Amino acid sequence: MKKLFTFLLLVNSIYAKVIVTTTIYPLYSVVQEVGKDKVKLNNLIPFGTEPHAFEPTPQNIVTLLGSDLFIISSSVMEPWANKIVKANHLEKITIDMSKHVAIKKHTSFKEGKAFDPHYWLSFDNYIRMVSEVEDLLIEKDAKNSDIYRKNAKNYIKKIKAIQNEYATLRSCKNKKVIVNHDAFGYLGDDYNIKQYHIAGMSPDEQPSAKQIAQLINITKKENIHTVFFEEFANDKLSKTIAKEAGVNSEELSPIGNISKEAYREHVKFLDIMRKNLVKLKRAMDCQ
Amino acid sequence: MEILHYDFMIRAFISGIFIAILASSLGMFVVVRRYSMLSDTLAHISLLGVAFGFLFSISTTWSALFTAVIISWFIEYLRRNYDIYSDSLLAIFLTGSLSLAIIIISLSHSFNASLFNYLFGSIIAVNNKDIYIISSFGILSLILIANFYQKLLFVAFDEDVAFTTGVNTSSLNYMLVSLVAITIGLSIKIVGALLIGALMIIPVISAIQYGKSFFKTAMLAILFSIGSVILGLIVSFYISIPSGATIVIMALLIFMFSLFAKKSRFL
Repeated sequence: MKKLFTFLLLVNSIYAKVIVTTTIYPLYSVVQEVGKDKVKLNNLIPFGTEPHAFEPTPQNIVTLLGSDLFIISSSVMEPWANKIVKANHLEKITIDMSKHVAIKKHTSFKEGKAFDPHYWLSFDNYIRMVSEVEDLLIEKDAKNSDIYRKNAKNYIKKIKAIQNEYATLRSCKNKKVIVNHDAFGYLGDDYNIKQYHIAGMSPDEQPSAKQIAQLINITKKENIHTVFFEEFANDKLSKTIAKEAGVNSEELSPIGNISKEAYREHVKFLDIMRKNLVKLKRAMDCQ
Repeated sequence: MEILHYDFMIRAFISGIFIAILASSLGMFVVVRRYSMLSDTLAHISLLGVAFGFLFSISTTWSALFTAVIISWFIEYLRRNYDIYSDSLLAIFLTGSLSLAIIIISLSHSFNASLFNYLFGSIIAVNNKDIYIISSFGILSLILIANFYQKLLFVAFDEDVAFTTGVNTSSLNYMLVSLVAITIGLSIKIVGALLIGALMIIPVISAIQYGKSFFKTAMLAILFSIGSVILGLIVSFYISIPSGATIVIMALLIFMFSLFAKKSRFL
């Protein structure tokens, strides 16, 4: 038994993969594309759930204790992570991705601590995430560095292709959109789109009655003909506003997570970005 | 035992057992006083405390603790001096403090996604410092309970008679609500409001089903709550479900068993 165990350990160390655990889907997607089959990837927040509300189970912590890398998106998005990292001394393997991208301060935040955590919706940031993961994997697993470099290069090429398609948004007639929660600030800044949001930075942050009335007026006045809702949050308010203003409502994903079906059907981050683009173009009267 | 290889599980067991003893012994007095909603109400009042913490940019731990203690005094004051049922009073404070918390949060423009996370802890994320806090306060309050045991018991069962025989019911009542408020204010960030509220009430009700003396019932309640914590942690570990909620379900299973045991009188 002991011999078998030693043998397995030996085999394991030869074919060892880098074990990476990520919290939200955009991080998972980046590690998957850069690491491919050289990485054993664990997804912490289950597919099909709203990432703002998550509680880890004991097995999640066991997974973390066995990981070579634990990548979180930010302490704003995953406030529970900090406590677990500290209590289990995981500081050495934990990477806070928000420290490696360009963060947008948010106007409605008084104190300097909070920021808009949806940074992956800016392609420049998404590319930064790819480069960071590339460096991290090379650091952990130098013998496969060529593979990681190649994967990252190919993926960045694909990202840039979609980024070029998004550039067409700059020439759209209608520069105003109404979205479900304040998640599209980075995208808006990149393409000069004015984003009106129903809920706040978190889908749980409910608007006042007056704000809803204002949104209905904006929809009518600005000739907005689509109100966006999202998959993992309540769509009641979006649909109410759309109905009151007599316009369409449609889904626009902030890609904080993907559904279980989408995961099974291998829908990728860039696929969803492309889908979002089609809907944005329609809503913004683009050529 | 794979489960004991992990330090975080050992910390969960230690803090869980401390909370179990503390919550169920305080729970005995809370339940016979018809104050079962007190823990839940105080948890929501602590949420208001967190909101104050955001508003004035002060430590949310302290703001939650102080708000819980001060409002618990106010509730006790209203209960003693006005003719309002305790359960209605608690319902008023529960909804009122939650509403006020939501308004304050929206006024202070803080990021409220983290509000609930800020407040509701998780038993598997406790660190050593949390254990020191919980255990030192737990021992202190157990000493207080043991010291005033007879008087607390007297007040719990018949406040008026206790008062006429010269017991200082007022200060005992304030002491009891303060202990509950501090327990909740401290525990929610460490183990979560759900867990502390359930452990204060469910094991006590289960123990009462056996119709023993107050002291024996209290011992049974402590036994049941420790049992729920141990079972809940083991089950949540092996089938990968959230620990706090599993512990509550275990306490409920013990309650259902106790009800059944009472009916069939085989115990």
